[in-house]
Amino acid sequence: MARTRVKFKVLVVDDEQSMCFAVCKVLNKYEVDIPDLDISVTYEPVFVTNNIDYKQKMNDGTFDLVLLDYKMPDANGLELLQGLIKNKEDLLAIMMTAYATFETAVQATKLGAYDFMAKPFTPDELRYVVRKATLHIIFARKAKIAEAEKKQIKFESISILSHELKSPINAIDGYLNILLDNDSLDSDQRHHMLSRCQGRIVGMRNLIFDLLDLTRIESGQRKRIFNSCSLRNIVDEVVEGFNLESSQKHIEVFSVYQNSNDLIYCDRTEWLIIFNNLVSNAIKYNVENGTVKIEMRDDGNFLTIIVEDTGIGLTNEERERLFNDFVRIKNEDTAQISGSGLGLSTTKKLVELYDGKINVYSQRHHGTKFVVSVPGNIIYPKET
Amino acid sequence: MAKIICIDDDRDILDTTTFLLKQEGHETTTAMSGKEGFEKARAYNPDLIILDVMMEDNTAGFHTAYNFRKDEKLKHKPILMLTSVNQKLNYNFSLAKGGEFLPVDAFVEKPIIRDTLLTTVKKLLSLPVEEINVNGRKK
Repeated sequence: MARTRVKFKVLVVDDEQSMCFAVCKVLNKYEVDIPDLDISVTYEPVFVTNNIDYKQKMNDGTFDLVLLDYKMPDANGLELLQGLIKNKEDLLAIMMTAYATFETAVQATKLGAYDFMAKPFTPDELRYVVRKATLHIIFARKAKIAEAEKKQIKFESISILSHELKSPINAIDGYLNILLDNDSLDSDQRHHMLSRCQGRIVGMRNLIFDLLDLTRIESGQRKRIFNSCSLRNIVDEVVEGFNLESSQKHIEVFSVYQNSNDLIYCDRTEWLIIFNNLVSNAIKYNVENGTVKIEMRDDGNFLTIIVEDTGIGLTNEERERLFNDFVRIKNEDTAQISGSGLGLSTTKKLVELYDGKINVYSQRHHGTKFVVSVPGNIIYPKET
Repeated sequence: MAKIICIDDDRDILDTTTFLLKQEGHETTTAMSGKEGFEKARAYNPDLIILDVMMEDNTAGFHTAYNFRKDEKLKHKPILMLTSVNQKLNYNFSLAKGGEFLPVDAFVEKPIIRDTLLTTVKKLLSLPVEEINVNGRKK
């Protein structure tokens, strides 16, 4: 993987020009490797020897690191340090001084200096202190970015959730207003509207549960437990869970296993969820007397799972949106079907945890086929 | 009274909106997507179009409104857009800013209140053709 090259701008502030030359010479040739982050840092040092030039340089650009002399004829190192801290510059300051005492070190640190070097110092000592400061800056910046990203995701999730809850709340509100305003509705109409309110409430509850599941998975809060699991057992358990729904619509659900070894090494709950969402959709969006076929085969390289139904199918446009969060396909054929819109996006995320892929093939009114393909290393080796 | 087409992907919003319109004496038809709504409107030739902002995706409502304004037969029909509270703030769609450039004639916020809906419908039905917001203009 290509190493990211970062250049730190360094400002050296010392009234002794020879000191500045020496420090810059060392830093020009210095490189700090951070293998954990695949970053390597080099330095672009410049120097100033008086307060006027210092002010100019600080105006003209930004620096990552400033090396400040403690005592200069026209400037007080500590005052310059205070200035930097007060302006909340995104940099670290290192104090250098010939008058090195414990007190001055403590004073500088209290005022915000990151570190302290007693003159005269060797090139090695300089490199050591600069390296420490460099690591600190890099890691602190990474942490800030991660924090901002976390906040953004949280904001987006809450925005999406509030939008998803607004719809059922508005719908229920609409029905209740009509019911309250109209004493003379016939009982069928009243019953229909109240049932619809209940339906939307069930939908909200499902949404909240599914969202909790999803966030637990995505945040890694759910502890993954890996075991060798039988696909047959998992599928049987899932299919049995839908006995009521499938018998109500007279839908036949059957499975085909092409290999005798059906063991996979996985977290069983995750695969229950994967199959549950696929089989649930295959039944919900199916027609009376339809079928659902669950097929599994491994060719050594990949484990392939196919869930195919004879249901209402999808248009191209519906297919393209299908795996996004909260997508529910809405047309005349799906008016009676409920769901949170998170099932397939959760399934996709789980399949991807195993480095797998999921694809959908479908034509409106001609059924739908989901194909899950997972690298063969999930297959539990058979005892020979 | 008037022929009104309601386009919204939420069947309950369609149910409640058409109930209120029918109670007022209007005739209604419905569609659940921008595409379906556009095609149905061409055949139905409504006096008023009620359109939800968000349907199959965030911009379906806007695109459908623009499509109506480009169609010779439908461009002068008044359009009432249904929005959700604070919806304007959530959009990336820059043209939605304050609804200034949207070629629609009125906004009604959900949850739909009977009187607000019916008053706005009445107002739009009596708009003279010259005042229909065909090109999208600053409010």
